[in-house]
Amino acid sequence: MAKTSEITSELKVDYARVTELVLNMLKPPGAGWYALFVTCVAAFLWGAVAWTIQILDGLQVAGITHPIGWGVYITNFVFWVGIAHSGTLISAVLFLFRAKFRMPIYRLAEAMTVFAVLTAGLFPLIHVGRPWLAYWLMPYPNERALWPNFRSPLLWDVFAVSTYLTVSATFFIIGLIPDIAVCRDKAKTAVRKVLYTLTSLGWTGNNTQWKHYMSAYLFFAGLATPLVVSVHSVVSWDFAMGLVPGWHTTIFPPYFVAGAIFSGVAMVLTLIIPLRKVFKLEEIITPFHFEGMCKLILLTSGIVTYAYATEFYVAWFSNNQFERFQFWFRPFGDFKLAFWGMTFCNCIAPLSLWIPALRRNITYLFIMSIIINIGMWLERFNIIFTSLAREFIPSAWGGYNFSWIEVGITVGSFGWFGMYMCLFIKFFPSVSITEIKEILPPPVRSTKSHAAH
Amino acid sequence: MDVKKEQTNQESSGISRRGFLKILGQSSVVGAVGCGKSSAQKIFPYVKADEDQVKGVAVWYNTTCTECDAGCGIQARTREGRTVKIEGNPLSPINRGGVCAIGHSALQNTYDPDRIRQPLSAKLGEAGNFTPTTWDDAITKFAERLGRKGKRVFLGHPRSGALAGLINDFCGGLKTEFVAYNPTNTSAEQKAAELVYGTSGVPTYSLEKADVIMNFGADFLETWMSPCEYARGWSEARRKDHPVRVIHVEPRLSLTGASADTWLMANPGTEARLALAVLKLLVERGKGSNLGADVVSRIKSITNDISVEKVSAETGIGQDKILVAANYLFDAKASVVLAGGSAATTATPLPLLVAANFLNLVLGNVGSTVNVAATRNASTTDISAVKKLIEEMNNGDIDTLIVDGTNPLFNLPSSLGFEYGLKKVPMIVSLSSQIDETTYLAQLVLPTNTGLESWGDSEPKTGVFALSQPTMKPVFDTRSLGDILIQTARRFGNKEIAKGHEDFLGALKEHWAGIHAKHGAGKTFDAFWQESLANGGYFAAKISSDAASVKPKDAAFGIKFTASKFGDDKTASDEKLVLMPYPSVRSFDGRSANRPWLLEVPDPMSQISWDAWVEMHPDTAKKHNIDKDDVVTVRNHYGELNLGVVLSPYIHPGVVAVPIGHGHTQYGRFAQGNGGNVMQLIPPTLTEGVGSVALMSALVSVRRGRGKLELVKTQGSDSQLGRELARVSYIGGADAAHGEEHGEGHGSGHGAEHHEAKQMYVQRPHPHHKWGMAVDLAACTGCSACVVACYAENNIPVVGRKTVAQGREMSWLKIDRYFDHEAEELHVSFMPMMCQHCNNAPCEPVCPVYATYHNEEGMNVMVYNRCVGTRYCSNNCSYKVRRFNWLEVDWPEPLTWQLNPDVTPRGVGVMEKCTFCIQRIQEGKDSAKDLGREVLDGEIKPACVQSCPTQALTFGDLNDPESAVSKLAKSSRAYKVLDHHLNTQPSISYLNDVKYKEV
Repeated sequence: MAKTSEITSELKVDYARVTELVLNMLKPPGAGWYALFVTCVAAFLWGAVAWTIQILDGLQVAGITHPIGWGVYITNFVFWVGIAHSGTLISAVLFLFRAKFRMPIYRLAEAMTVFAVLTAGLFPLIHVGRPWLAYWLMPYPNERALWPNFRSPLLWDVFAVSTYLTVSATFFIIGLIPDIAVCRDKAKTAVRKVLYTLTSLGWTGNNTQWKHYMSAYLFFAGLATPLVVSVHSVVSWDFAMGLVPGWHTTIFPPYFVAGAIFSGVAMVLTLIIPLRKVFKLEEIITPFHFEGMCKLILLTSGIVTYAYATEFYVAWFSNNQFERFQFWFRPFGDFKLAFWGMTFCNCIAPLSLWIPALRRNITYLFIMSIIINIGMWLERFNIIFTSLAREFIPSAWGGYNFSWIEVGITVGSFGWFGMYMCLFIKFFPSVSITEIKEILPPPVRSTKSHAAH
Repeated sequence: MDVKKEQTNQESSGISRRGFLKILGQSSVVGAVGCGKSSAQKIFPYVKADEDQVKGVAVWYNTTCTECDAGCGIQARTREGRTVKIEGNPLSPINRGGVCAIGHSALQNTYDPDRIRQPLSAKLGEAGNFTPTTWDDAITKFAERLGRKGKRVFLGHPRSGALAGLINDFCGGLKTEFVAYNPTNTSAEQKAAELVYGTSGVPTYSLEKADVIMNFGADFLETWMSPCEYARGWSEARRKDHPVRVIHVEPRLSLTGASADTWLMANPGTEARLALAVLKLLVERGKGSNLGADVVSRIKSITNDISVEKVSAETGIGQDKILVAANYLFDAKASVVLAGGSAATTATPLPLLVAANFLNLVLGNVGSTVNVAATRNASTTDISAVKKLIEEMNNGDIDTLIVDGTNPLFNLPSSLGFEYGLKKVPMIVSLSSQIDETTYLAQLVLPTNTGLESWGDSEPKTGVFALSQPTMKPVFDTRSLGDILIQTARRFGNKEIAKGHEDFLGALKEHWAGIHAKHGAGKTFDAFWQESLANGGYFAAKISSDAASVKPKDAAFGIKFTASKFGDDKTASDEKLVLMPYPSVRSFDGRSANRPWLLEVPDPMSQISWDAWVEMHPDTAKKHNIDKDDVVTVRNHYGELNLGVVLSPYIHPGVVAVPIGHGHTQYGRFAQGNGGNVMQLIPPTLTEGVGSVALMSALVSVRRGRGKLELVKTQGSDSQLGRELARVSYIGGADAAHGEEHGEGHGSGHGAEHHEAKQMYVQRPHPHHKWGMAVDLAACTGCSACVVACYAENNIPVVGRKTVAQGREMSWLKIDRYFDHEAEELHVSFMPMMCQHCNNAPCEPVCPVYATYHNEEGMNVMVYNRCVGTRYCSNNCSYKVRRFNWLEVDWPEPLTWQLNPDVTPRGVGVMEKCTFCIQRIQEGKDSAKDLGREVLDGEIKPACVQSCPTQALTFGDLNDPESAVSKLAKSSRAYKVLDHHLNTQPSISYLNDVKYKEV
């Protein structure tokens, strides 16, 4: 008990220090940043080349095949949508709940959200047979009076993801405005001055602006909150609405939402731990914040584990031979490695976070976050791949080998995401200056007057 | 081979004025339309169309299939002067409308991109280094050889009809010795028939009349004698109120055995002993009283030393099974005993074949199910003549060897030394349409037309005069065999042969004048000829046979009825496994090896596509330390093969089986380099008393070879795991009630109404038609003819070995094969699986762009143009019948000419699937409309339905309660796959298989 009591939400910094620490991140990049950025761009280009080849030669260059029509691409899609999830959870839902541990991490989580949705949105395009016609999924008026099929979960996906992107991007940009104004005021180069002047939208920080700003922020937080639930529920319907044994189940929406938060928080950890280290943000990102995230991880890991168990129970209880076979096949069949890998990463490994010492060991947390990311990728892979591999007609059962194209595009998607993250941390404050200042005592001229006030 | 290059050079050079104008015309069209792949000369094969050719309208020619000797009647559908599809001729008494897989693929033989395109010549000693030459030069060169002193031999496929007469004339008039050679001969069966029935050909069997069929190895559903004819007879017998019981005896479970009620796995070579034991049991119980007492006593005398216990030990078949089998034969009102196939190619085939004929005799089958009056015209081959030829060639006695329609270098056992002999012949003239192994060594190649480009006739069966007519102009600069022979004789100066006719058509008509004189009572020759041409031949009334005349020859009793021996004096001590080469429904004897359809469509039993393999028992493999994906070396003194392995518990542990026809070293791009040729392992043994090649006489050893080879298999799981997809009900067994229950519970009749009452949503109306299909699993043999028909009709691309291995084959229709065991009893199911056209289709709601939807005629249709390629429909299809275009597939010229102009080829990235041949439905509706009437039941047939030799598939309008399909859908055997689980409401009803419990 003694140890936990040491952890408080209080930060031992003042306004000036916060500004200094955050603006320090925007200084001209060093060799490390360039190395990372170039690596990301190279990975992205590799993915782009792979996709180009796939467009030219058809999907034969990928490993997906009959009967596994969806493979790594849709796994990546669900994975990235899941990552995108926690950003809004942290920024909007926790904002409404006034959870204090969100303050220093929400900006990065939001950025991660927007970039992850941008990444996720690529995969439906990548996986379709004729990507040049993918705009047909949009309900646009046309002279042939052709509309998309509003009964198709894929169409709901289009709406859900595009709405989510719009709202989360707006929310993100609005949250940035006061901080950009700070950057503008402190900017030293002409280019930055112009950039920040334009993007701060004339923010002066007067009371009227703050009043409007705060109500707008609240409004968007309210608007984004249902999306936290809806996006991944809709994504889960891609599967739940299908007939495939292993997909056709009502537990999917809550299970997917919990899984998404789980993976999203893990991804935030993956990003913020190195960031904290490199930019020496220990003063403003403290064990208190990690503690909060760990608890969120423990909660969602529990929900996910419960969902896995429920799937098995329902398969047994339904007495449906196809479901039963599917859930026998996952742990004991040809692809059991994916299943046991998932179980270890998502159900067993996170249990260690019950131990307070491990929760505070930042290196351990970083490793754990990677484990969870892998586990959640495997979870989606398990759902998509193993279910399709063993459907109703045994003669049509099949398997699947990845091709370098799929690996390339997957790596490329991380490159694409990393590229945006790199640019973001060098151009905009990755930690919210204004929100941290909100919880700090405001600077006053003298201690006395402060006390009198 | 440089020929191809030469040919393309020649094609591209030398544009005539007319050609120039055509190109000019076409390029302006191309400019306007924006498509520029085909060359100008190939749009239409004629400048001025025949009067019966109307653009956009198909013309059908009745002709005869020349792929094997069965003589099935076929109809060639031609569009714009090019034959695009082969279908069965319902008028032909042989196949009655069905065609086999190989028959369909004759098109790919004609449009084979590796076909010989013009006459070729090669210098002596420069084998394969061909230079194109002109027909004039080639004929002159051929004629010159006829004037030489040295010995000439014409080694040819034994033919019947006018061509046989012409070849006879040619050889007689030009002092050339004729040697007949047919690798798929029926000499042994013919010899046995001659001994017992006294017939010159093999009797024909009326399987439809039989109540019990006992079959010793004859693969009558695959390649034996006349598979379409017998498959049809068998299916009719199976659909009787009391279906036929089939007892199949063979060391390996063949496709034919898989459809039998009982498979008795006899030790190889002991079938004759089993037949004798059954014979003894029957005669002892008084069968054969119809025969004279002397015959009966003589039959008794040959079975004297037989006892059931002894035979049971010899054959490895339980005594009870032998007794029960004999009982069934004893009790049957009508039965048939068949023997043939691999069992007829052992070193001593006669004991079995003669014993089987005796069985027919004592059972009183002759005259009822065995027709000795209408016999199959035997396709005999006396290999001793071929052996003599080889000897002469080796001695350098042969000056000119003319090879026609046969490829001995590939399909004679290499141990006979044909190759060494052939290389000593100074002049080989090949009359072939393919560069096969033999032709490759020729000095002069005169390319012949294929069956679809030639006139011809044959008498495959007594009273059946089948006529072939060209269904289109030759694809390349080739000529018909008859014309080549006549022209050569004339060039040589012989004016007599072909009775003075200048072309083969004249000789053919002359020959038919003879038939007219006999059968054309009251008709002018022209009327008779035209009628026969329109019908595909002249088919005399059924000839019934009389039992009284049959009297076995003495020699029949003089045979030593012992089991066959395997191996010869060169067999090493470790060679203990019997090698069983067998012809299959795909590779046959190797002549269909360069046809992509047959390579891609999987073998129905092993479900293997493209690859060659050796089949062995898992225990045998274990003993030799062989694993699933190992390369297996099969070897003996004569040669060695390295093949992928199929481990099947349905083969005798002492036997390894290899399909014939793989392992070409020539023959074209698709055929080459695929496994090895099993003929390399066959000893030079000839069958005793017959003189044919003893294919099944070798002993071999097997061992793990170098490397791994994962065979391309299109089947996921071999078992259906009790999912009741392909159902069976057993007659007389406890399961009969079970089957009935399914029929009622889930069948369409009762069940469909049941389902309709439960529907949550308003059901779609189908105001005009509601197309549906019924698939009778009791009649499906798995022969895969429907699959090839579907490829041909719907322009389904062949994707090649690598792509099939990735699971990306495009077949809209697949034969799923399941091995299931129920209480020790093996049941093999063949289940044609295609789009079920569900009324609650899982694929439809998930498509985001309406590329697939339900039309008002009850079909699930696909709009290729609208498809974006999300593959969600395929994921959600419970039957996994949707195919995605993973790649753009090209058909090498001129295989493109086969494409059906009524069906659009699909581009990369779109989904496709069975359409119920919507183009044929449209055509049927249009022609009914033109005639001012409704569509008649049975008038519209999708390609699969048309082609099915056993009529296992029925198509029609479910709105019409009187239609055949409606009635079948209401039958007590009908059920819909997965419907009771998923409520998909398929438009296809399956009728469960019906089997007897094993003996």
